[in-house]
Amino acid sequence: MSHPTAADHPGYPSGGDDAGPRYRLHPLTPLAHAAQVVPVALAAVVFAGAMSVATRLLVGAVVAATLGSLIAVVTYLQWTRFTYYFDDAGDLCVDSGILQRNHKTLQLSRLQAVEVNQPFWARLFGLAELTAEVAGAGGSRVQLRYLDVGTANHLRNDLLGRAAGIGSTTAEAPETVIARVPPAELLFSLLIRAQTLGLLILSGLLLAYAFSTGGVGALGFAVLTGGVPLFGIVGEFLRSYGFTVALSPDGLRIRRGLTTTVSNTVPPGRVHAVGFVAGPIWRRLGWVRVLVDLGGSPGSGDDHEQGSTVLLPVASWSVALEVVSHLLPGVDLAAIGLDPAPPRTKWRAPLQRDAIGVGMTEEVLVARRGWLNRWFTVVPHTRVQSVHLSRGPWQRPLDLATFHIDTVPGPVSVHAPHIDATRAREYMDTELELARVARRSDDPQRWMTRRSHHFGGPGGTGDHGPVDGR
Amino acid sequence: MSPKLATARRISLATLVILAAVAVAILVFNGFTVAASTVGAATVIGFAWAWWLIGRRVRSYGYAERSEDLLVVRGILFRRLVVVPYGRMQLVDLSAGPLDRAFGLSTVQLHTASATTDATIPGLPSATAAALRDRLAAAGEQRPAGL
Repeated sequence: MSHPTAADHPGYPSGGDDAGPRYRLHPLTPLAHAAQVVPVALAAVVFAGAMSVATRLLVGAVVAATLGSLIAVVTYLQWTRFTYYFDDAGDLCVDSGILQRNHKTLQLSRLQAVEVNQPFWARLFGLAELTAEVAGAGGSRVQLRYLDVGTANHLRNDLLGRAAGIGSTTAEAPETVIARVPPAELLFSLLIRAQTLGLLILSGLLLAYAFSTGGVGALGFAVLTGGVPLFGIVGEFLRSYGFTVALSPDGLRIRRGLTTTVSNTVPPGRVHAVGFVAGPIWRRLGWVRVLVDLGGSPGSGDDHEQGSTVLLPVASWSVALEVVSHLLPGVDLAAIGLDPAPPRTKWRAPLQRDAIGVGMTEEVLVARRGWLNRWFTVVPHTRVQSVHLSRGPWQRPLDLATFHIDTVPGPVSVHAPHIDATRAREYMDTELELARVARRSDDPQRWMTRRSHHFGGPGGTGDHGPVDGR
Repeated sequence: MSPKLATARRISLATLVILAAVAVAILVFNGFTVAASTVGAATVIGFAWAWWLIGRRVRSYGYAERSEDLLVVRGILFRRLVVVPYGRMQLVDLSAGPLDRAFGLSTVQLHTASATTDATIPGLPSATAAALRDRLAAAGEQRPAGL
């Protein structure tokens, strides 16, 4: 693995040592951080109370200036002490910290995902932030804030190339777009979700309360400070605007966002579980949302962190199955037969009973459940962490149990509630055996040098297949 | 499981009862005799029921070391059976609070990459717990598995 020379890497060199050249972040970084003060200053202007307009603007300017310069100074100091480089083993190392030096090494062979985001203020300066995540207990991430866009993309390709075992590379791997969510469709789907009705009612109640206690002023206040849950839809829309999924040798590339743009690459070996979920209205239209559990740290509750688990915000079943088939090569999800729950389940869960089902193939286990929100979850045997059965007091007299598969933390929960207890025990034993065999032959590192994709498209529909929307 | 676990737990229960008794005393002191007697009666009943419940719950814990995995059961009302393959174990935790230490007990907890794996074996005599942890660690090392 060759060290990139200063000529290869468009980053900002900052001297070097035996390990090779070191790089800094972009010099405009302190400014980009300081610019985030502007919304705070605006808020101060708006809420400064009963003062004349000129005074309020002055207050706002003062707030912006003080906070801004404070942040700029601190981030400048951080900038001078932040370097990143590639060590002898080809792993990414980051040195940071003003008072307390922090050294982080990212083992690229265990690279989980690389994201290049452009948060709103950074975009104004032409900057982007790069986030690299690595698998492991507790997980490890490295965030480079900010690099210019060209450098960030270059570095991302480099990291992905090293992770896949093909050495340092500067070219962006070719991609083919396989799914796109047009903004109009996104908006429509968000509006007609069953959840929206609940949000509407809640917002209505809150606004009525605000109006009754404070009049029109309180109403305005509630709207400005985010007291209207319905506006969560706006946030969701902004997050998923222009959602595009593309296939590339690196994995699946996801691009989304309006004010903050996110570009995310998910290598297929990192997907631990896939969930298709649809509420009652979406089921009628044949739409579904695809979520994934990704190996690696869940990280903090950042905006883009939440979005990383959404594979498709809304899509028809055929598109969803096609996209997922690239993550699970050789698996035909539509054709897997599901064993239903026994008739006596109707005493415990009458509404859910028809939806419950469990199916197994050599590669994956699938489980379906849910009355209001219908979930169809898939987990490859190689990714099963542990298995557990649980049995509540209402299940015991009916000889039922709930069968869970534990995987890494994420929005997808793979479990089959209220199935026959004996069958549950059998599923557990079979699953443990299949998982053990699968673990033997699995090596998620350097996946690209090891195997090639097989494309398994959706085939015919089975009796209890997932396409059975109702 | 060691029956001493039940004793240890009952002692922590007793501390709660002492707190309740103090509360009752304060109430009586301030002249709220009706409230005091209700609280007192509730405490006595609660204490007796919890005493019995602790015994039952402790008896419901169990574990089995199989060839490829570890099996842990617990619970009375909500019964739970967890199987953790040795290859998936990331961390084996041995812990003991002050009461546990007084009775020579420890708790063994297994961690995997999943947050929902709940394999906890409380109330093992410390020697058994240490031996179990060593066996589990060895078994885990022999079966390396990626994430």
